[in-house]
Amino acid sequence: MKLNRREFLALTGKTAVGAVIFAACGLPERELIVQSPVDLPEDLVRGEDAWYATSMGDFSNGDGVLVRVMQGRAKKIEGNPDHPVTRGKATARFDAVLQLLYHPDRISNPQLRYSKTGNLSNISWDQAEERFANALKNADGALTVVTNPLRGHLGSVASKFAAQYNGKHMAFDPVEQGVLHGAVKSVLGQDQLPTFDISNAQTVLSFGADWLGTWGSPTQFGVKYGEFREQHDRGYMIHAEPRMSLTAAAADLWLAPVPGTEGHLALGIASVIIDEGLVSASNVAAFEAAIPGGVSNVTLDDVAARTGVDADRIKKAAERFAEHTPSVAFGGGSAGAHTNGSFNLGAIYALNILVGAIESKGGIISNPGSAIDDVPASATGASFEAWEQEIANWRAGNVETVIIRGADIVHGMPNSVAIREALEHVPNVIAFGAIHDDTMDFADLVLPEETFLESWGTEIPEPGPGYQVVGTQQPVVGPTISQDESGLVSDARGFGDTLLAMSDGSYGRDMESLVRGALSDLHSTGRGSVSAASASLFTNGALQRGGWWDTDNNGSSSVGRVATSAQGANYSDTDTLGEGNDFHLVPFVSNSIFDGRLAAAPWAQQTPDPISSASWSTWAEINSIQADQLGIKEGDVLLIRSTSGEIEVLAYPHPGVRPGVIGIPMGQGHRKSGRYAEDRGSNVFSILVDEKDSETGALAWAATRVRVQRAGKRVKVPKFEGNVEARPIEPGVPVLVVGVGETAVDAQEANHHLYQKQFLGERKESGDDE
Amino acid sequence: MLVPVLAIGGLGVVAVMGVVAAFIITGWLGQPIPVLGFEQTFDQPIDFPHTIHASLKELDHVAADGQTMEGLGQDCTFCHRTVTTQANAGIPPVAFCASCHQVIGAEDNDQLMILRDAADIVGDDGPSPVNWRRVHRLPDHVRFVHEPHIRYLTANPSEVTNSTDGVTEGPSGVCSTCHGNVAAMQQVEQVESLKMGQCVDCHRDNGAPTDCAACHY
Repeated sequence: MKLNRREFLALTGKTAVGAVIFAACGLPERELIVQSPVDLPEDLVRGEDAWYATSMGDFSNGDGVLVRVMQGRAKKIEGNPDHPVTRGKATARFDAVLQLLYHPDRISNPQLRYSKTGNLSNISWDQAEERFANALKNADGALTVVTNPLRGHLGSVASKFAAQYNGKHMAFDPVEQGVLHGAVKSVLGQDQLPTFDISNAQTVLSFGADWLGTWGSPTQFGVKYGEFREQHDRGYMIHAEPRMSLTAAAADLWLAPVPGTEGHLALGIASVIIDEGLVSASNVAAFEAAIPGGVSNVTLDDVAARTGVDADRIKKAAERFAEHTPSVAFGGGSAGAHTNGSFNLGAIYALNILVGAIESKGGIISNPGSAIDDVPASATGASFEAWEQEIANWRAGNVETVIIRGADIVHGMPNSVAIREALEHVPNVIAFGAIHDDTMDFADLVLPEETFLESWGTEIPEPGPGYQVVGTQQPVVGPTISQDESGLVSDARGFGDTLLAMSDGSYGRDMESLVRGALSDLHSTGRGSVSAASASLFTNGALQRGGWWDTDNNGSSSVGRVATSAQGANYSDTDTLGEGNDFHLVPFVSNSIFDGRLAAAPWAQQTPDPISSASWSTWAEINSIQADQLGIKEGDVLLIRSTSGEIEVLAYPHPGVRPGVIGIPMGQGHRKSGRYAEDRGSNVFSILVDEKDSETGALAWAATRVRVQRAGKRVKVPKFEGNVEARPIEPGVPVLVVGVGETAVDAQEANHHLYQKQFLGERKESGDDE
Repeated sequence: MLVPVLAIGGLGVVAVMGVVAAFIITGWLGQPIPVLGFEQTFDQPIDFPHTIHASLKELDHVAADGQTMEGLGQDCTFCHRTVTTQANAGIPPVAFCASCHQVIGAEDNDQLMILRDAADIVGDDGPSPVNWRRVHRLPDHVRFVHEPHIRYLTANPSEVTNSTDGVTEGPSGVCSTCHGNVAAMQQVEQVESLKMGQCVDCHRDNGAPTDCAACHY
């Protein structure tokens, strides 16, 4: 084709127009792009969590915690770094307790048993309240409110509710602390349990109390133990207990006395100190004034013979205790759970007088009373003697209504009181709880209770840190929606709120208003850890921190005298118990499920015992040499028989038990307690005999002697220890040895080269590489 | 129309015809019609496998250790979170992917490293969005809202067409009607025409409005 100039220009122009049109018809790139933004929008999971400060309710002695909440669900419980008791530390129980919130067996609705022999049927809260009101109609003077030992506002509300109906508020603690409270009162003149300045002590001498595991305030003591061991010489720790507990395992010197002779061991230590003149005369005089008759007639050989502890070891403990001060002595647990428990603990706490450890740095620090009027700062279970009388009243039909909360009395009472039969004679048994327990099998009305994560309250730690503390408990989550989104996991209400709703209203409308009112009152005192311009700001400040404390408000002591009504321990008989070998039964509180209150939580069940590494079961620790002699092997099913009954446990031969002693953990053997605890293990409480402390009437739960017989079958003990064959680890880098005139870098290099030679050989090490 | 075109001469005809042809070709590429089969797909900035995430079945490929793999069976709504409530199905933010993949997946997986780089888990160039290529696209003059479609089909599962290897219950069970068996696609492709005829047929079959303003407004 021949183009002239004009045609060429026309064609060029048309092509340009066509190109423009072509481009306009195409899709712009942005139309084909869809972008993932970098950040998540507000309503999606952001990985950001909210932390709320609250208190641990029934599962510790007032530990302040932080709860991690994501999208309305509580995910994790940690220690509150601000709280003077926990100081940011936690125990395995913090993790496990969360499972009670989401437990698949949580009681979903109020339940009514129409007749004593009938089954429970779901009812509405309106029907439940009507039934509750009916149960109170004839209960004037015939009402008993049974709870676990409660401090804070919940304890106050329970007591006032009982008083409104001229009834009784009785606390039940299967591991009674009444003897401890009595000893502290008589020797130190204190109403609240004291704390111990372990952090600043050079020597710690403890008896029977597993204070690193389960006794007192393990979180608080654990923090202090860490500080104690951080001292330049790591401190020195002596622990006396017939079996090796977690505390005994951490001790520098473990003494394993005959159960019930702990008081004599304390006096033996005192006599050595006095005989060797290791303390001042004024301290000796004060000590002898506190111990009627003094220790002049106590000889080391007698004490060694009675306690079964070598005289040399007693002497070593005494010298260390007196010479490396500050020193502190304390006791509890099995040491006080004898017929002479008051004497044992009195003598133990009196040792502090001897070394001048009362109200001094590194010694015993007393705790003040409650910062809030009418709110108890101290609580302990009613004595077993009082319970025997009360249960006799129930059996006689003198009590119309029993309200039970936080206390599984059917599981925790020994067989001797026949608690089941007694409950059948009470016309109205009303039980609160999150998960069906053994006691609810005898309840006429079962009411679903909120956990501590869902309810309001206050908690006064016992033992406190040595000054006034009011821990706050606030609902950190709302009602939990069930997994299939068909409704709530539990239509639960708070125990305190329910009692207040059923009350005459004279002592509060609901728990939240009580807590807010109390915090407002604290604000008006103008002291303590929270300062704010208004009561509402103060309340928010206290709730955000997990409580209020006043470090300037301390307790005081007044030295008294040790109760000495019974110095010798009595034990139950075994003469009529048939075949077998006699042992002294020392029950101990489980490190994870406690006395059974955490048995429903599978994480608590699977937490290995720190000594045996066993879990999910009830085992019996028995001295391994003695087990060999008796032909008992690990996993043998043993029949443990007392005059109160018989249980089956799995044998766990172990060198850390005094010969003649059998240690069995508490907390298992529930007939009901959710799917993870039902019919698991054996209930050691059931076979305890009704021996009591002669002073306080408390159950002497370590005074039972049992006859042990092999049942002829064997079951593998569920434990970690020994399940994996030991094997040598990989060779490591040797300890750094720094020679004279050598720098750490030189030494590091030299050691590193030595280490490398194992793998590279001399040739490669020298760099002669081909 | 031909008169002015022919009036500009032979070369002019060629040029105009070329423009028209280009217009048609471009239009076809942008909005393909199933004449030759389309199965439109794009290479994406990250080779995201819907199979691993959404399928409930054993996968064709095997893991690095030689093990056979099954899909995770995640709900479509796990990532496309707004599909049941809004017009757009929603593309997950980088941070959402990274909430799993900062720990899940091999450290040397090239594709995951692109994601981790975008989420600023690795690298030092800060976080950056990921620009995915849109596979399913309707013309600008069509307003499509996912929410009523998902709601209707979830309530009427008998109207769902195309099977899926992924979750079949709830909202995730209805996506296949328009998007095909995405749970079986290593790389997502368009399997339905998504032309007006298909929309109108479905609306007519299910008693939905067919007036113009239903979609063109």
